[in-house]
Amino acid sequence: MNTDQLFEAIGEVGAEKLLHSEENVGKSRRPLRLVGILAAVVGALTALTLVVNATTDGAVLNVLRVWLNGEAVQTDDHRVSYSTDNNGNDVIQFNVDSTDLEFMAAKTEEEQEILMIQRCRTDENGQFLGFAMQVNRVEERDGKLILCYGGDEVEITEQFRDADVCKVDYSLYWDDVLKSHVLITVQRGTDGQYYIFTEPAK
Amino acid sequence: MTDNEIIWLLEARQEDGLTALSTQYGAYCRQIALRLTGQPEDAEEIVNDVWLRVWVSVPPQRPESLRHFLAKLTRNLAFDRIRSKHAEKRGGTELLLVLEELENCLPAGETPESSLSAKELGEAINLFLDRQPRRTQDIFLRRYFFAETVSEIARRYRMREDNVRLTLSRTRAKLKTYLKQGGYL
Repeated sequence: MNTDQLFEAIGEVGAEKLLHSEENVGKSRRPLRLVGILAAVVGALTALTLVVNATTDGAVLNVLRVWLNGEAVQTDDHRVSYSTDNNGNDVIQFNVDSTDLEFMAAKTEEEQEILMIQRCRTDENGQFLGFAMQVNRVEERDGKLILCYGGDEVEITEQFRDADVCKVDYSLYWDDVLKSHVLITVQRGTDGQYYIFTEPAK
Repeated sequence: MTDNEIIWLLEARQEDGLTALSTQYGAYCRQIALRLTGQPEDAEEIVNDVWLRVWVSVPPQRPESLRHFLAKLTRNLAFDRIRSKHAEKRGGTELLLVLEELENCLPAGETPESSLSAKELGEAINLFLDRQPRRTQDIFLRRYFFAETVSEIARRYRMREDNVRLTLSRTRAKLKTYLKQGGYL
């Protein structure tokens, strides 16, 4: 097979796929307007509950929904409940059950990223500072250490090999909302895993 | 006018069907042709060829999706035109880049021509795409069917260009493995 044949073969894909690619333009990754986020893992493998402290327009949920590929969860789903915390903030509780986990097990790394939201950073008032994601994987390429997460890759300096923490100024895909680059802190946890913390750059 | 009404006019051999096609889909086909050829004059001629091809083929064909029937015709005619016009150095800068990227899906060096038809290979690629997440399918097709630039795709899907490149590169790598395992390479 040569590239011409491959190009022609791609021209034979089903019309329904082309239609989908045109219909869903711009629907992915809607802008975030985070006020705060508090994530907690409830249960080991059978249930994951994220308590999301968000704006009432459900912006955060939209993102979660996108990360679940728009198929598993709807904002009006019974698994999503709304309440108000002691500070008057809107709290959206988002329950993912074992069915979702099975669903996600069949998904790609990027789509499973939601499972990697394990910790967040808040100040003493509960204000959101940034959230932590377990890095998908660490790869070595041409002697460089590359951290891969959520479809992004960050090259980490050589010095990181001898340290536990490394800061990288990097622009994430939601930087149009934060309106600035974010500071990523890569940290090697006591469990030997790599974690990334993100926060808006000062 | 609806697609069905246009097809009905074409089936009735009424030239109003072609006028309606041109009004409703002229810009769409021109955009695809222009993206591939990079030449407005070529794009215009290709679009005219598309109308002619539709006139000849409908009937007996009755496309389920007129829009994508036209997209495929435009793409094929544009590709044929570029292939014959620029045997050595193919024009249409975006097409050139698209073909270069697709080369990554194939083993290095000379590969024997496949005895399978484009339709059979297309079915295999269809199956491959079915296994990919919807968004990956969409991005792949925006790039390798419609030959959109990476920045266009990034804007469409509100992604960073790096992410689009990464998604495309991962998908190409998966496609290569899939084609190898399926005995297509």
